[in-house]
Amino acid sequence: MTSERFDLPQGTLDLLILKVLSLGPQHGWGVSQRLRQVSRESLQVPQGSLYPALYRLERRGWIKARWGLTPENRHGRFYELTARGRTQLKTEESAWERLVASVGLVLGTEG
Amino acid sequence: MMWRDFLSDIGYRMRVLFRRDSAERDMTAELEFHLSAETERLQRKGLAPVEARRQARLAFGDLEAVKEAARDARGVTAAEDFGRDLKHAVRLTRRQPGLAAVVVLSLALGLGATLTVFNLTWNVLFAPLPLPHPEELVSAWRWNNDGRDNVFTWAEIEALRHGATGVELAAMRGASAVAVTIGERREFINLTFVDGNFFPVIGVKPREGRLVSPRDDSDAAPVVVLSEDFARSLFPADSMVAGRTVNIRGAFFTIIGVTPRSFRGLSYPGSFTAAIPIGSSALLRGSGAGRDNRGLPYGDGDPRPATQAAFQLVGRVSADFEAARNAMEAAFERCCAAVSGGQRARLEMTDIRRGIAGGKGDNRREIRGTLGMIMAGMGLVLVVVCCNVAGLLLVRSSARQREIAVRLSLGASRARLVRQLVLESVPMALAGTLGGMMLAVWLTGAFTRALPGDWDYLRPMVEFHANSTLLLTTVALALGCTLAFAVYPALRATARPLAPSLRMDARASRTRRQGAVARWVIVAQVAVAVVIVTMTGLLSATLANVTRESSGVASDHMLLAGLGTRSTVYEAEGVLPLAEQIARSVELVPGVRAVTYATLVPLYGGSNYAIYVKVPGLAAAPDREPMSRVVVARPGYFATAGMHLVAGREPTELEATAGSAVVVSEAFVSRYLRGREPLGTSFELAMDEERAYRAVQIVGVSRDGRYDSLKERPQPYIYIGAGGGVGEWRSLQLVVRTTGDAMALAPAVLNALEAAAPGIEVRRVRDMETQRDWSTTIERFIARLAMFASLMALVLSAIGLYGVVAWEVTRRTSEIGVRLALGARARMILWLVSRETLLVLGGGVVLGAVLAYGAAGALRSQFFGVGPHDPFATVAAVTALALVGLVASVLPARRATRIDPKTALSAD
Repeated sequence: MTSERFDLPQGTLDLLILKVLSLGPQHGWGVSQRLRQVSRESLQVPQGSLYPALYRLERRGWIKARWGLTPENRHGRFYELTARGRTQLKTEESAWERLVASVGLVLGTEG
Repeated sequence: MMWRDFLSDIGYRMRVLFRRDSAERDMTAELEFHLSAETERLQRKGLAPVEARRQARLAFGDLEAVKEAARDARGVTAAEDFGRDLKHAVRLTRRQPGLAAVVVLSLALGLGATLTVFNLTWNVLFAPLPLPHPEELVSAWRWNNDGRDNVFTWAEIEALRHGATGVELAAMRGASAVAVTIGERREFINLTFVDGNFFPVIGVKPREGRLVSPRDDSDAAPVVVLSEDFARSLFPADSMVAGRTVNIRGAFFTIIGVTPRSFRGLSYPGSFTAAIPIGSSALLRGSGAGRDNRGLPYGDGDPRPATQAAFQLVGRVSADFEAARNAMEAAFERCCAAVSGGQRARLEMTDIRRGIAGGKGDNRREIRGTLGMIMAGMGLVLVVVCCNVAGLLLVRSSARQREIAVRLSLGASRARLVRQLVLESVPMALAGTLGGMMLAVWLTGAFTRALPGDWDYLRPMVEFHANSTLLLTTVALALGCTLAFAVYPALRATARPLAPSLRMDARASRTRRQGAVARWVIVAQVAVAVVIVTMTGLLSATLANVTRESSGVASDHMLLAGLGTRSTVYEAEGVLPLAEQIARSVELVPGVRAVTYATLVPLYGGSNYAIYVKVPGLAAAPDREPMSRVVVARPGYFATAGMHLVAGREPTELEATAGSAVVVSEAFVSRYLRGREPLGTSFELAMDEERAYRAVQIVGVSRDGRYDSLKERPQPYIYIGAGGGVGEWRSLQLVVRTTGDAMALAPAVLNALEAAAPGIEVRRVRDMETQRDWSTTIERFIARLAMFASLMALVLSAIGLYGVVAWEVTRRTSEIGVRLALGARARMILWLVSRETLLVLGGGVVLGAVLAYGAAGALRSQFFGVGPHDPFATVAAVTALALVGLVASVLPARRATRIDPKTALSAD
């Protein structure tokens, strides 16, 4: 298992956070769980590094935060996508796809 | 999109900044929530609570580092940290008052001294005229084959006024020695004639009343404007002088206003006493026609003679400078360029923002070098200050090595620590700057008050003006110096590998590399101080040598007065026919021992006139005929003036009347007689333009006199009696030998003068001692400034050394405690802590001596009677530095020997 883990390429953490949040409001821990599950534990993201990224996105106005109650009735800080965040996600998704496609073409393993 | 990003960013930052604490709480709460949620998840997977928590933290990463990164991401850390660091800095400064005091004192002294010298220098060399928008002021010069001049005829001025656009023109003209009478009192002043545009164009605001208007000029109104100083000297008791009347050359004028003290006319260094309208100059009458500064007549006629080039032109450019210049030059080309003989003249419009240059007293060119040298010296002093500050900060940061290492290992970023270390010096820099400014204001005041009497004109110029450029520069300099020198120690301190600093024995772990920079700092500042002190020694020796130099006359009990006949009733025949009569009546004044006169007196001045001589046996080069200066003197002049005769005697009355016998100076003998016996030798001289030679015989040889300056090389002089056709002389210096205080006799002598020759012009009444003092003003000024710079350099070096050794002792307290506990003797401890400093001091002194050798050679021309490599100055400087350095480093080192081992070991 360990050998299949890899580090996140620079800048992709923002895209992943936006993607996770596009499914609905989530707190920081929730985002980290989601990333872990969806990537089937193969993404090596120290959980702590999530927070600077979240603050950065908040500062850019792509996500916004509010305190709310979790299903376990605890206070958590929930993040949700703003309208601009949604636009940004689309832009970044298509940019990512183009990048993957281009890299694939170069490597000759497309499809 | 961009601007929306920007707005969002700003809004977020503002929100966070204003709710900083709540933002910080939010973050802590959020991270805690994450950790407990993760712990719970792991517990649900079956881990024990403690292990679950441990795993959760492991997965999370370094909590403090995350917080720091999160703060950075929030984008407010810089502002927040700044405030926190500043508070910390103030607290720290208060905790180490000794170090702070040393730094602040160094900065204040260095900056105060530098600011003072820079302010003086700037005001003397570069200050603009104290008028609104001086950069718009211009004057004009006319160039033709003979060179240039700056006077124009009225017709030319009118033509230029109509022909040139973009510049407003005014005209002026000056006359010297114009008699002004108020009641019994009579003064000779410099009078300015101005047209109605003059004051409006240059923009002087009256201090009282109003200034000359165009209407005054066209009406030829009998009105006069006085300077504040002159008005105050005429009417000391009156607060208002406008409306009062003065008599100027026989005509009554009403005072309409007073100009402010700062107004000194348009020339550099300038002086202004009084002004009347040009139109009113025709009112001036009385004793004969007046002559202006250029010898052109005025008064009793047409005030604006169309063909007489008498007026200077000043103007204010209202629009583009280049366009105005072209317009002026083109207008001149059209109206006035034609000169007789087909030549053409050219007009040059010049900027006079720093005053009309090149006039009498414009010594900016001569003193630029000296002032530059002093400024360079002060620059070096400032370097010493920076060295001190850097050295102290370096010592401090190495003393805090452990604290820094701990914080670095706890995850503080290096940039953050450097920022904090640098910020810690800000309160000290600010306090030092403030102190420096106050010191500068005080020093400038003291300096201005100490200016000798003949430097009066400088006084208003060098007063401390709150010049924003200068102040800003200084503040920038101080902060720059401190911050720049704080950055290096901070970088050094944070760059060290952590392990050795963290070990408990950090107190003993002082690497040699660490002290290297601090040592070089001391070497540099000691070297600088040696250079400055050596220069001061040479300049002081120069002053002493100049002061010792003989002027040629005995200066005690000697009163001098300058007599002039220009624009008086005696103008036609000159002063010599009156001389005997005047001398006889002054001789009758009680307290007068002897009276004599001469056309030129050493250091006091007079008419300096050179004539051609033909000396038998002296082969004259065809293009360089031998010349000598000539002094017409009363028989008995040498005895009364105390001018020593090295051979022979003075001419008798008879010989003086005949003009057949002369006394020559030693320089004359050595230059023209070449070892021949001078006494009895005859030679020929020509006193007039036509070169009519006549024979005279040498009856005496006098010691050389120094006429312009005590430093001058003696020149050949001939002293001759008034008879036998020596021509007309317009000025004569009366020499009165008194029994008591010379100046006390001045009023009585003046009365006698007035009785003997009513209406004669009397100027510069003073005693010879004062005159002699004045002649060394520049040397004294320079020596004093150099002393001042030396003192600063010595004090600052001492402070630096003291500070570094004191810190060394503090830092090594426990080591010293151990040594003392192990039985080390006091002397060994003393040697231990001061050894390096003394070595470094020695290095600095040697380096300084080498640098001083080079510097003195480069400044050779500034010294008099002392070689640039005079060993005395170097030895004195080296001794002074060694002594000061020794005391400054041994005093704090003695403290180390009194350390109590028990206290020292339990510390830290």
